[in-house]
Amino acid sequence: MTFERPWVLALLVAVPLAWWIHRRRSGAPVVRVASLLAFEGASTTSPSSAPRAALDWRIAFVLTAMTLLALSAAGPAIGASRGDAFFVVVDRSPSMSARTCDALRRSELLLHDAAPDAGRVDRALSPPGAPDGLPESLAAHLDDARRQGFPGVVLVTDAPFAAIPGVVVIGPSAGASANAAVTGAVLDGEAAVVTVRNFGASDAAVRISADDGVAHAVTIPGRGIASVRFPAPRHGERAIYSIASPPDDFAADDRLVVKRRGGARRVALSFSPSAPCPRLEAALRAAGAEIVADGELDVAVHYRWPIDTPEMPHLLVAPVHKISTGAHPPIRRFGTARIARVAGSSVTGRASFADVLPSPSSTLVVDGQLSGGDTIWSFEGGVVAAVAPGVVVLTADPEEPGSDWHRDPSFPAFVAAALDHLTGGPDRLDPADPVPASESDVVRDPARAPTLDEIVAAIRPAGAISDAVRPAGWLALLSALLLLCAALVPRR
Amino acid sequence: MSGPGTAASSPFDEAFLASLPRLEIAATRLVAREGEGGRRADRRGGRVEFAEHRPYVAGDDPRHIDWPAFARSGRLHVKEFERRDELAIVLVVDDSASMAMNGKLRAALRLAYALAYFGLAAGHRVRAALACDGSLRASGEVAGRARMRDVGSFLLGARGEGATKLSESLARLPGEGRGARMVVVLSDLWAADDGRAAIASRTRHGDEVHVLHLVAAADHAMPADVVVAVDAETGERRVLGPDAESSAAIESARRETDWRAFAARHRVGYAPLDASKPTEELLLRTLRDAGLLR
Repeated sequence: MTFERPWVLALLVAVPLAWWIHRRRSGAPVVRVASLLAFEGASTTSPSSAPRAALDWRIAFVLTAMTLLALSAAGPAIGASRGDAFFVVVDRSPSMSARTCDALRRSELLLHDAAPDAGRVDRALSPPGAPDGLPESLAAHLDDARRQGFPGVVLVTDAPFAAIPGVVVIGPSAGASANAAVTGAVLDGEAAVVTVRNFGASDAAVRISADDGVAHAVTIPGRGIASVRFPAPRHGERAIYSIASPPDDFAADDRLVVKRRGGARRVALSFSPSAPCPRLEAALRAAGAEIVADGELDVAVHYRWPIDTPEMPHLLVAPVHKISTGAHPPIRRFGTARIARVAGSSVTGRASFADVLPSPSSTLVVDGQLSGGDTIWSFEGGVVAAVAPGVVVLTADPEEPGSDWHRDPSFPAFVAAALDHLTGGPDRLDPADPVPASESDVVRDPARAPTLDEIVAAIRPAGAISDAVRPAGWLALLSALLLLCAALVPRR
Repeated sequence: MSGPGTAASSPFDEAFLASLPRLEIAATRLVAREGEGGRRADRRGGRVEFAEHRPYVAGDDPRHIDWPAFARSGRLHVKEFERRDELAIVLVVDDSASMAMNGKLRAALRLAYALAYFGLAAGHRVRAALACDGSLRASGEVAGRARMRDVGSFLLGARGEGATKLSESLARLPGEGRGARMVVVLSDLWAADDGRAAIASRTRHGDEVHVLHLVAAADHAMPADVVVAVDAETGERRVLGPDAESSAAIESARRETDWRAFAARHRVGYAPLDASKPTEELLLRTLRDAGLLR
């Protein structure tokens, strides 16, 4: 905040003076008496012992009004002037943590050399830990800088971003000489195939180890990739694959954490002995499921059979009982069964189940109607299949004689999709926060260092701001209101 | 401070002036009823004035025969004379700042005016005086009711300022003239120098002194709280506790008792007068009880 007439602020001295005078006068009341001789026998005391009100609103209003009036008369302006300043956009992506990256320290030195007294307006190019996103991520900052009157921005990054008019790029003084990265891991049966990549030009002989102690040595060709096989972790468990040696210039991508998720391996199939389901059993096996009678289960599959293990994920096929999944939103089957033949061409699907629709020439026999849940398959006559948390319900009965869906590949595909839905997807290794390849690409020549003139050209010069807030009028109005309030407060 | 004689608050308003003749009758009646015995035998002065003629009867003092009248009418008449006490009345009004508070000065001026009126009506000579700061500003001595205007004008010059130093002021009383002198002091007596020394001295010199003590309950009315009291005359400040009013009432009563004892000891007329009461009541009841009016 600045003032057009700062000397007027000297009037503020009147505020404590007024308070002092008020305190002197507001002690015990002063009474003029004919003669003190009349009070010869009266006790004397101290004026400070006279009771005072906790807060004299009248004097509070007056003093506040005096303060505001003095401030108003001084002509305050908020944001009226500013000094020289840089608009600095800093890349906080993972690659900026490479051992050889001195871009930040270098930018401070260069900016100080160009304008020692200039201030800085700092912005992060992208959220910390995220890829730099250049050049798209810079656009918003350029707009912001122009709105604030900056002729250009200073971009501090290790990315190979060429300077453009209005953007001064300060990068590291030297590029990394070598970097190998663990870029990914995929599941191949019960093996994890770990991929490593060499971002340097020369071949790199590295040693890859897993957290269970297994290690392999591999040579990665220059700018090439290599893979190493490790035993896969068990379902729900995680594994860590890391480059044990040699150390390189960028450590953030030398370690990859994966977790094995998804995949229904063990299912229990329930059905009535009077109504066997060989087609469903075949589809389950085709989907890769192991049908077990007891032990650890991933999904319980029921064919025309009521739910008896509510805590387990369920696939209900052709339910004949009234069901209520209990999940939110609940799925209900109409009490009145109605069997319908549905052509595969009339079925529409949603989400991942849209990829496993029946072939147009197939025929499905639908037994009953569903309501609630999220519809995944439907036809003009109603809902064929729906999902809710922990449950998939299918009203099409593959065992009906009139149905030929079991001959269609979409049947086991639907079963597989249902199992994946219930168990979180297919059997896989999910990497946790992998470093993108673009961030690992740190082995390159540094960008050209900007000249001091180029940096100075990005400075927003000091000066007045035309749109400064000048609250003098409002302060005067407020002080007038306070004085009015003071006048309305009764005298003590 | 506006004086008590300003037009807006003149102590001698029309109602007051109109009441004086009626009061005079009452006062005259008092004189007639109480007769000669009310005056002290040691009083000096007085004069013998012609009263009327009456036919001569045997035994009359031949020195009282009006021979010129006998020459004109051929009948013997004797002159009858009556002796009249002629007093020099000095009305001293305390004109200090304390008197200006709570209506005391106004009451004192009205009393002084009325007493002057009665005195002049009774054939006495009257002089008014205003005392303050040890000085005494006195008017000229006047006789005859026609001079009431002079007395009134002088009294309207009261300002109600300064301090009370009654002994110093009374010491400046003009010298005794012919005849007896009555000095009437009208004051609230709130002063270290409340005039007792001078009053005692005046009585020793044969003056008849009356002290009309103007009392106002408001003089010691105080809020039941701690206050800073400022003396109207000296400007002295003193912080008083919540018992100020009750102790002032006690002090006021004590001073009255002291004054009564003093008055009895020195044969001084003393009457405490409530300044808040109407002047008529003060004149006809309180002053009669005090023996000032006969």
